[in-house]
Amino acid sequence: MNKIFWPVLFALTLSACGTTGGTQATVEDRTGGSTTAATTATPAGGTESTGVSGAGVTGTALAGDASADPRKNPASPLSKRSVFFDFDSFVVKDEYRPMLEAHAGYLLSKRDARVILQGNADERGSREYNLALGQKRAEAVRKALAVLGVSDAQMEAISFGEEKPRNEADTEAAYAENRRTDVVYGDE
Amino acid sequence: MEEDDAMRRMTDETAASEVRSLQQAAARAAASKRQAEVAGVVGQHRDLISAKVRGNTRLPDNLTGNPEVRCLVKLLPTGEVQSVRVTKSSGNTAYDEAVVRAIEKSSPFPLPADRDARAAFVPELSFVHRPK
Amino acid sequence: MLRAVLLFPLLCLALLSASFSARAAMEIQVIGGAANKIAVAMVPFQAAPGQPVPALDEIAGNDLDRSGQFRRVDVSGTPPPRAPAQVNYSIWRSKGADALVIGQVTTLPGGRYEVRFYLLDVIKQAQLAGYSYTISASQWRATAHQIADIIYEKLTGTRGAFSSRIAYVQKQGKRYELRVADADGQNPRTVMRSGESVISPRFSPDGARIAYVSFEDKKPVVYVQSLQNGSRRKVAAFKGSNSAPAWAPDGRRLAVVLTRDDASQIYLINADGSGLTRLTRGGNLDTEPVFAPDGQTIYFTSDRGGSAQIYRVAASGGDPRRVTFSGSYNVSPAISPDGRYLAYISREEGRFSVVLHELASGQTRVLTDTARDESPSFAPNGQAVLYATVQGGRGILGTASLDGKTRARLSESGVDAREPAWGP
Repeated sequence: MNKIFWPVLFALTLSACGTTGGTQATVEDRTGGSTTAATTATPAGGTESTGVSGAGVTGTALAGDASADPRKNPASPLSKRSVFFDFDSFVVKDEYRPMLEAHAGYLLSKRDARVILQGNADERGSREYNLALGQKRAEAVRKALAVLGVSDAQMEAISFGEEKPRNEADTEAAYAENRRTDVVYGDE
Repeated sequence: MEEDDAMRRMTDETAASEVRSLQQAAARAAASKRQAEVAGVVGQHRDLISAKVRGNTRLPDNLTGNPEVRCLVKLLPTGEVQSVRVTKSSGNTAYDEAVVRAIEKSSPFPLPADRDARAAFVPELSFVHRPK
Repeated sequence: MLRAVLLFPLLCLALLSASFSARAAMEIQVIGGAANKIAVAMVPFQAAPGQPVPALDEIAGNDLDRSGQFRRVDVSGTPPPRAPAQVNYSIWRSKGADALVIGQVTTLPGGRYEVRFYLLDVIKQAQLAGYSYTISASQWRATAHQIADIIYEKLTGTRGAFSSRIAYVQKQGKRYELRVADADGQNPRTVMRSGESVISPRFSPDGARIAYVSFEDKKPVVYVQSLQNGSRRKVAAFKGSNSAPAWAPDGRRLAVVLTRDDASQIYLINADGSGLTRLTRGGNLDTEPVFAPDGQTIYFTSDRGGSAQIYRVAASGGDPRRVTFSGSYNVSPAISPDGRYLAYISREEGRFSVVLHELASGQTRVLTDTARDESPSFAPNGQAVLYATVQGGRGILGTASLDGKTRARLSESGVDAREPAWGP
């Protein structure tokens, strides 16, 4: 009957450490002793802070300045970032060849550039299984780029599974939109 | 006339014997009718008691195979269960307990109103319980 | 002559009676059992006038109802007894009760309360349990769950799981919260919040830690967090995706799914992130590992046979064996604590349902009647399955008894709950 003398479980919510989209861990005390607040705040991921080395001045490309970054030029195949897949398929269709060749060319010319291939799946079924399906779509694009000569060190294939749907509707058209791999550069 | 007398006597005796055997046959018929009646009532109540106990039996989940529990139940003429004793365990305590409990919960048993039929149930009943 | 006529039937009757009483007692055969629920009368707990009477009997009664093992007896119109001595068993017997629960609450100084409760066997007219608790006002629910556990164990012979906890992820807009709640879904506490998705929470076997997959690093990473002080660490954050954590029964190792070397494959890793070893091989998709209770076998989902099916492999490695064969989509395996059952999600004609599969016989049973079921997990006593489903466009949590006959909805209204896991 000891259990009943435990203080009822409670949780302390700690304030977020400033970062938007950050993650907080909160504390639960089952010991009856004083609650020690331990927290881990993690900055919103993906956004790496760009440090300035030495006294150099770094210019920031203005939006719409196509000449500054060809990846942002709507006329360039580099601005195309999504590869869509058929239902239950992990084959990169031929129509994406020009786009992937352009990205391979860019990566080959900029050896310090890194690219993340983010696979996605539609929302039907198990989240973990969908994560693995999204991974297969990311791997398909990674392999296509590898065939075009891109080094593995420049690429990371990851999956969001069904966690980041582009279209949240419960329709076949929405599912098709979510079965895709996005090409995202590390500095974006 | 002696013959006549003798004749009459014989006829009388034959008649008497015929009456006697007719009466005996009627009695036998009545008795077997009664016996069938009692047996019918007994069978009917045996089914009623079985159904009541079955309805109160909650089989444990961990039953494997088709083990048998035997119990001896002492009954009052009112049908109330006085005692239940397991005479042959199933080997599964939970099942044995479930059967005893079902018998106890079924008290009072539905007994026939007919005294002779009721005599078949009192003071002791033997139960055999099988899961299937 | 006349005498003979009269005697004969009497003799027959005498013989008839003798034939019944002389031989052994008549035998009555009973085959099977028709009762599937224990009838319990739960009398509202009594308190002095003007003093708080929390719904202890209601909370405990709802626990018992969800299990599907009990039928509650109407207690209205009967003067409520406070102590066993006041119980008139014949009244409860005539109401069809197998068991009776009575209790009282006394207010103590210092904001504390004494709760006394008795569990009585109506058939045997005997006390089965009697307990007294001294509690604070914040412990009403915990006390009610304890009472339900005692009733459950005394009446079914199986320990109760009402004092256990569940974890789930709640989504509100773009915010995700990992929550730990009582087994009835009440009393939720948020243990982690994020602006990115969180999936696959799993309690450690001792319930002190929780593993989960967080997308806060813009990719799936496996974390293990202490539920005692909130501290956490990344256990698997390798190149590629890291997901599907599953605790080994000893709580020292986890199975995880990584893509660092290949497609999604299963690895074993120590809970501190050290000692990585690869378990499955091949270019197929292997995910959703789960340890059998003996720690020797791992069940998982794979598409190696051309469709999503459940396989098992020795935790020491070797060739996987296929476990599910019917249908083209069987995923998210869970193993009952006694190792007897496998629960998983099966797709049949576009409907995703929870299926219970007896491993020894291969017999299966669909436990749910909803169409978007996910994430089954067993109660710590193995008597129910917790799962997520969708109703009215919103994620809700439910439990189903192993016979599939009793289903209960857990979540509070207004929240979008998913990814449930039942913990100790």
